[in-house]
Amino acid sequence: MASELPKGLPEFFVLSRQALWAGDRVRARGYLTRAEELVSPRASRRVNQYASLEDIVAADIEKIRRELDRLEARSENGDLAAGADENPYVSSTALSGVVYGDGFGQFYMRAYLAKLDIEDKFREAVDLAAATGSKVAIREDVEGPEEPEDQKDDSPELGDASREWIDASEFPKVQVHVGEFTLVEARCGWCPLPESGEKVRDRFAAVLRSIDPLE
Amino acid sequence: MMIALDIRVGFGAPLRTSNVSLTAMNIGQTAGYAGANHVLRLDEHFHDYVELQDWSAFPSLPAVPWFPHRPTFTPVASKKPSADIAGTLGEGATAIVLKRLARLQTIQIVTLEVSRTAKTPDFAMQLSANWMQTAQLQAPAGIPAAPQWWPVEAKACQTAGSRMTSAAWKGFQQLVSYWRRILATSPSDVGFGIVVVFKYDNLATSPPRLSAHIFLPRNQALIRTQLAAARVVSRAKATFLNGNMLHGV
Repeated sequence: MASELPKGLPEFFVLSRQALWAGDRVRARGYLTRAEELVSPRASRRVNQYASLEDIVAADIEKIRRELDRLEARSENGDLAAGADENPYVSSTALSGVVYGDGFGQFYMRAYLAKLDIEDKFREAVDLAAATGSKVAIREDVEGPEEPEDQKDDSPELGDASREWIDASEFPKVQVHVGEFTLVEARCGWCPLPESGEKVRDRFAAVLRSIDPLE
Repeated sequence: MMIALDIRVGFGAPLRTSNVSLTAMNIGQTAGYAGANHVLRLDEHFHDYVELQDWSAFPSLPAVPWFPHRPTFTPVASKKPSADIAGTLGEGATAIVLKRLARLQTIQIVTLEVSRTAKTPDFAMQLSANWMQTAQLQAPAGIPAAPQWWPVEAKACQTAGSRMTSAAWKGFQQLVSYWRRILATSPSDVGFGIVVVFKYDNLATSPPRLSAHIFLPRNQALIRTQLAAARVVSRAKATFLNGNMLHGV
């Protein structure tokens, strides 16, 4: 038998990792449950006894689930989310995220693509949004280029897929970064302060809709 | 910043050298997602460890007057980069490089948890049968059918030269451990794997560099025989460094 993983298992496992990265523990647990349902009955869940790739993934699911249990036990007093008594979750059709408070009037969102089969369309939407948004000044703009231009001979297949831009379509402006993977980070500052957390979530939801190919 | 990437079969001469663009934001996010350790603000670490030249982020500390210079009380001379942080940056760089090189989708890269009790690969990556062709790499002739999911090890080292080679051998040793574990269930998959080494120090005389080592079996029957032997993992270099079992080794 070759090193194969049951159909659907990689998708739900990767989604659980993305959700954990975003701090979306509720959905992470749901994805883990879906992934576990796809693990073969014969797979060992003990990593020190693994004999296949599937055994490693099955053991990882167990380990992450235990970590989630511990986190949930500790998070009774709230975490970095926008407000412990407020819903920090934000989403569009294909993207899910979590909003955090990041200092006085500052907010931050981590989001991920929850439908991995549309990654190419997502990239197209991101490229379009980045092209129409305002450019973000980077360190090289301030400090000068680190390499002569003639060294930038990146071959097409090794091109940088990450994009960063300012979405100024609504108030307040939002700085958006989509990296190599289907992960989104966005920041904005509110002055005056928002009337409610819902206003902040609505602003970030608009950003998600602007790069969601299913919207 | 642009970082040179050497791609080779085993430990052979580079098949190709390309420049890879890595930005602090991109590697910070990727390493935060794909890395095994929980580290905050990896983009700032990338800037200090990799982008700044000649350890300028790690200034020497002034001598402390009257400090008793005894072997047991040596004052700190300078801050140093952390091996765990560097390792996490290496994991991020590995994920980015292979995603671009083999044109992988997010779903094709599975990050595996680190275990203290068993050596597991850092990643499993789903590579198509012709991925080397896609990456414009000339594969040796006569390679057996490759597995769907390849084990991938990420390594980081501070300096170039023998340290990079040594890090690649350590990664290879971990692949051998994996092959030994799956020998009974997936005997046709032994010999396949990738190790990526990220040399992160940025010196005027020696900039950061990446080296990808693609391991391909030449004689799987012989590899299987060797994997069944006792202490094959700790003796991996001596066992496999004979050119009979793997291409470029």
